[in-house]
Amino acid sequence: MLRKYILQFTQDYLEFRLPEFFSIASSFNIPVKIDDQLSSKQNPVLVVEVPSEECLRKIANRTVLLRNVIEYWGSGKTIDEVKSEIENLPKEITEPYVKNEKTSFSVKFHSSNHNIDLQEKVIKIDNFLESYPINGKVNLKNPEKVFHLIECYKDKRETSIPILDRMYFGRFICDSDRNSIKDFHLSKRKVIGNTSMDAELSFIISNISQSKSGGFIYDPFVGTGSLLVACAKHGAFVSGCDIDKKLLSGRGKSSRKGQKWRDRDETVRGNLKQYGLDNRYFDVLIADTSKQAMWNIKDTMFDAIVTDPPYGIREPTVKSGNNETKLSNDQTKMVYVMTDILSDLLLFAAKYLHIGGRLVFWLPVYREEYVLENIPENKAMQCIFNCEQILNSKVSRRLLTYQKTRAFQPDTDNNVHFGKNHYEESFRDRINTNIIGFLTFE
Amino acid sequence: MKLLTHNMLTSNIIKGVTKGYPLKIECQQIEIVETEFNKEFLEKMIPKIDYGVLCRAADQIGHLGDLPKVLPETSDYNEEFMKELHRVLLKVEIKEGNLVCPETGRKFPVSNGIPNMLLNEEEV
Repeated sequence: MLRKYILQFTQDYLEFRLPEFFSIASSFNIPVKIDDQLSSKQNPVLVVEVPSEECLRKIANRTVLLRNVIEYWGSGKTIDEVKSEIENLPKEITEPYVKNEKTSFSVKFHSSNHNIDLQEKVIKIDNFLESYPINGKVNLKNPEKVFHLIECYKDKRETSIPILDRMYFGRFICDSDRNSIKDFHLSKRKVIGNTSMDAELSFIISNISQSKSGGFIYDPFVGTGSLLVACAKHGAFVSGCDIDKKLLSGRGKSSRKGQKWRDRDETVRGNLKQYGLDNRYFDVLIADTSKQAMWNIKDTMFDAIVTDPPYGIREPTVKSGNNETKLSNDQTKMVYVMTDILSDLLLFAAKYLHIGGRLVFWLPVYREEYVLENIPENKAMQCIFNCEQILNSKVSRRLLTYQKTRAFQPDTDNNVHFGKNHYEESFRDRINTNIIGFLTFE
Repeated sequence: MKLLTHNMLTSNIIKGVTKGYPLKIECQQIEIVETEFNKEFLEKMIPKIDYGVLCRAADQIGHLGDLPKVLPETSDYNEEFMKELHRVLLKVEIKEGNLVCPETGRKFPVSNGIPNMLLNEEEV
């Protein structure tokens, strides 16, 4: 029989929650059914049915946008409604936890869309326990059983006074992997660049890309490898390339405040080594992603491609070539137009991803101009998620996720189509004034 | 640079080069690095690689070891074979040296384990 669980999500990255959760679930082949009637539409609370508690623990152990998992006991508009639902549950679900007088317990209260002060919280918990008594001694510090009482209110923008949408009660099962974010914070990272992706987003991207043990992941604009750190943590072998020779070899100016030059071990490998993940380091290459002919790959090679392409917003975009001005060293660089970056990326994925493999990358957009037709199309690739992260009133970036649906067919799949292309002109000029300073890592 | 990467690279980004595969290896320094052993990954890789090129490259740099020169039947993928394959594909690392285009002799330097595949203006 399927069991019901309450998922409590964070308030952040609204549009990313379900893609993250369901990407992990499907990579473990765990069927998850959302109970629409019991879930709260305007709150980060979802009621789902899964085959077992073990399944949910497995997913929770990977996700960062989930807070915790609660075994669903009951819900309703009033305490009485919740109580009557609990009393209808099979006894073996509740009794071992509420009848045992010897074990200690605590009840935690959360509210969503409405702030409730500590005193009021205590009253609410007391009221609930009066109606539904739990045996055992209360222990707030180190309880043997934890219960959660959750109140979800209607969206504040729709009502002038707080209106309770639904309350929930259940038994705590587990936390998520959210705590790892702290350990992987960029301030403690060995190597950072001007555009290093923060730990939370890197984990989300890695999860959406379905990285796992035995997987092979490639970042064609690897930079300092911040996305790869997350993918390697999730078990995959990681590889990448970048045109920036100095960055990859741990030379040149440091991006860290108060440090002038990079150390020689400030490399992608060095970054992984910091977390004991260098045994999943595969290779990085100094190469130009627009030169795909350098690959001699039989048919397919990668399980996922994850990247934050340099659209010339924070870093000048370059590819080697023979137009444009000579910058430095021995190699000529020319402007790598955004349209070309997108085309190269989709074609690379269409060719070299295994069927079912995913391409996950950021696309910055000018919000006023953005339409769905801006999303590039390729016949072998299906866009499955399109999640917006708003950066300011004018600019956002969208995390696009494509899945390869079939084997690459040169006759039909060798081009990338833009329904409406607004990246032709210098996107950098238009977007620059709105974004500079916003994404810079301090 | 690992031999699996060598297996996937060509020099036909150079103007006039038609195949550019396999690249020759000039090796100055080799390191054996600790890389996770993952059977699933290796099994997935076998049909994707050019096994003959892998063996010749490993042989050329003196690290073929006990890897059989002819790919065994799938049923004969025993533990010993997997370990050897793991070593050759993922543990042997070219630290310093060059990859050399078989047609033009153009050298792509490998420095601190990282190959540089960038070209100059006139080569593109």
